[in-house]
Amino acid sequence: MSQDTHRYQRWPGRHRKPSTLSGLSAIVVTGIRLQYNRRFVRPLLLAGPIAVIGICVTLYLLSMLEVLAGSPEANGLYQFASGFLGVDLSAVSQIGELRGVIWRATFALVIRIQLFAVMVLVARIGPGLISDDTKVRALSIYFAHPVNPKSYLLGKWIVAATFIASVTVIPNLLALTIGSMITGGLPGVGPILTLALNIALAGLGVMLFSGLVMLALSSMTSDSRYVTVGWLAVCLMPAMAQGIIRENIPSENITGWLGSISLMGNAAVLTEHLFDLKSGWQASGLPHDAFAKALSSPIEPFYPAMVLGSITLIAGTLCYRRIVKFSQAAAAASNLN
Amino acid sequence: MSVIELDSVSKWYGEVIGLNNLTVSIGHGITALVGPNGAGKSTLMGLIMGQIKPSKGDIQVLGQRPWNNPHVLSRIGYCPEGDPFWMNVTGRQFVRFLARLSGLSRRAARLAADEAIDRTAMTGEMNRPIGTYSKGMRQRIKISQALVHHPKLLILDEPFTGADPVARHELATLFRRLADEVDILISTHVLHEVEAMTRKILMIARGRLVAEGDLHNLRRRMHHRPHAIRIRLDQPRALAAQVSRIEAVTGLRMPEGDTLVVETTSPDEVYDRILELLLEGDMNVREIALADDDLEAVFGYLTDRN
Repeated sequence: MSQDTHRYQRWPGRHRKPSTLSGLSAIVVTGIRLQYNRRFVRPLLLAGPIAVIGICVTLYLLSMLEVLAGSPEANGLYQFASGFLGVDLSAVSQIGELRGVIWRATFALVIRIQLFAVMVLVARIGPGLISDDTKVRALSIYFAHPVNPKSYLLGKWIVAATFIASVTVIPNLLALTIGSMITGGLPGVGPILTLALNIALAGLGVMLFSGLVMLALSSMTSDSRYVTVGWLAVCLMPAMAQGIIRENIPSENITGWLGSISLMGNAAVLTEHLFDLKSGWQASGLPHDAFAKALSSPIEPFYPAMVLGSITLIAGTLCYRRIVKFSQAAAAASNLN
Repeated sequence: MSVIELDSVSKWYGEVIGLNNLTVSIGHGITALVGPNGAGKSTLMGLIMGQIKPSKGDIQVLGQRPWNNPHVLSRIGYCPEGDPFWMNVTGRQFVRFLARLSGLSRRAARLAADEAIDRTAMTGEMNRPIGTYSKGMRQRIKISQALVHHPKLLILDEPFTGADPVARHELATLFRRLADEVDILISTHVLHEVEAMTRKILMIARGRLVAEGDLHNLRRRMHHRPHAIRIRLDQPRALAAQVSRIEAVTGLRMPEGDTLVVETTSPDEVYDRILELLLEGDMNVREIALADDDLEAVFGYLTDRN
């Protein structure tokens, strides 16, 4: 190593008060770059543009139905609406009056589908978020800088949330904007803003739950393979258990906690409630049989909200406590693995 | 004025004592923190960097209490032991990232990173992924990240680990130069490594301060103790033949096929002489170090005396 010839330059000014924002943005930018370069992440992110195209085409077809309602050319579109939304619109002459609830149902359905994309994407980008740092003992470097556990956790969550948003909230809002432009949108600004807000809230819920649960799992081991297995188990096992319960117990008895085991199912119930689909369809004047398939099981939203909220809270607390422990050097040196 | 002041500091983890009633003052320049593995060096460094809260006592670093104090951390550069890297990022990205973590703006981080990398002569390699670096290069890029935010205090945890004798010499020279401008605390479990840089040492063992002050005074106190120097190389027999001619050598052992252990009561003299012989003979050396078990004995000796 050739030695330097110039002297060490002392910082040409006073040391500034450390900026939390600078550290946070460094964690976020570096985290996004590292995860984006992982294999299969870019193809998985295509779920975003595909969703935009899919939603716009759907909204366009449904707007065509408004024009062609009652004519023989509309038969295929009725079948499409029945198959996609689960609603029989053939008896409605003024479909344009139902545009608000149809759009809400469309986005609610799309979000349910996007949960699968989120599950796969988070399984790819999430496991290494903390476990890679613990594996190479990078936390000793993080916490030797003016970074506290809260900033670290927030930074890592923003990394996960950015990826989740790129296949949920962002494409949905983009599709709402494009769909409004090509079909004339909803009557008035209020319904569009309400729908946009609901889309954002649903996305935030997904980001909070998925991000924090994944970070909690990632903080528990330095081997990201176990994290992936754990995440898939968390997502799929309750759904399988719920399926077994549905097969063996009469549906009228599956209420309350018993009907709130599946996390995906809970997300569907809450989305449906958030988008106010039940009262929307009831107010449409359609007979109950025409839209019964469009609604999920009649579980009160309290139970799914409690289940998902509790898991999110426990995951966040657990993760934070682990990171606080990691931030203490001696604990990191002796107990990390 | 002292850079670091510890007043009756203790830290315990449940029933395990990490540090026991330590009172010490660390001044300007290079100070070596020497102790065997498990002595409490990591705990002491964690306390100095404010990552661990003392169970008892008071700590002042650069005039402030470090616990939960990001302002102190922004004035400390820390070079940890091991390889805390993501192997697919380049050295430059790594140093820039840590500059940003220290609170530098994007532009300042870019400039500071390039300057710090230049300081450790890594400019030519800075755009390569860290995974392709040699052990010595990784050590240097770690030092770059510790320097990047222009700290007032540099804490180096076992900075010579994995470096070959030439790289060790060059790192020691770099640290000596840096000591003109920044105060340095070096943690090591190898006494000889610090001799080329400083005479100020702190020796701790089992969480207690065993000795502090001038290294040569301590050496005199331990003079009659035999020391062992372990060398791993390709031709141990050839080196043994030459080392046996040194008067201060009291014994030679070859516990393994590629390892030579030299026993002496004058480690300073013998260590220097061995380095000369290695360079003259152009021998392929993999490791040269004071044998750990012998160091334990030295600390045991000092602990008993205290």
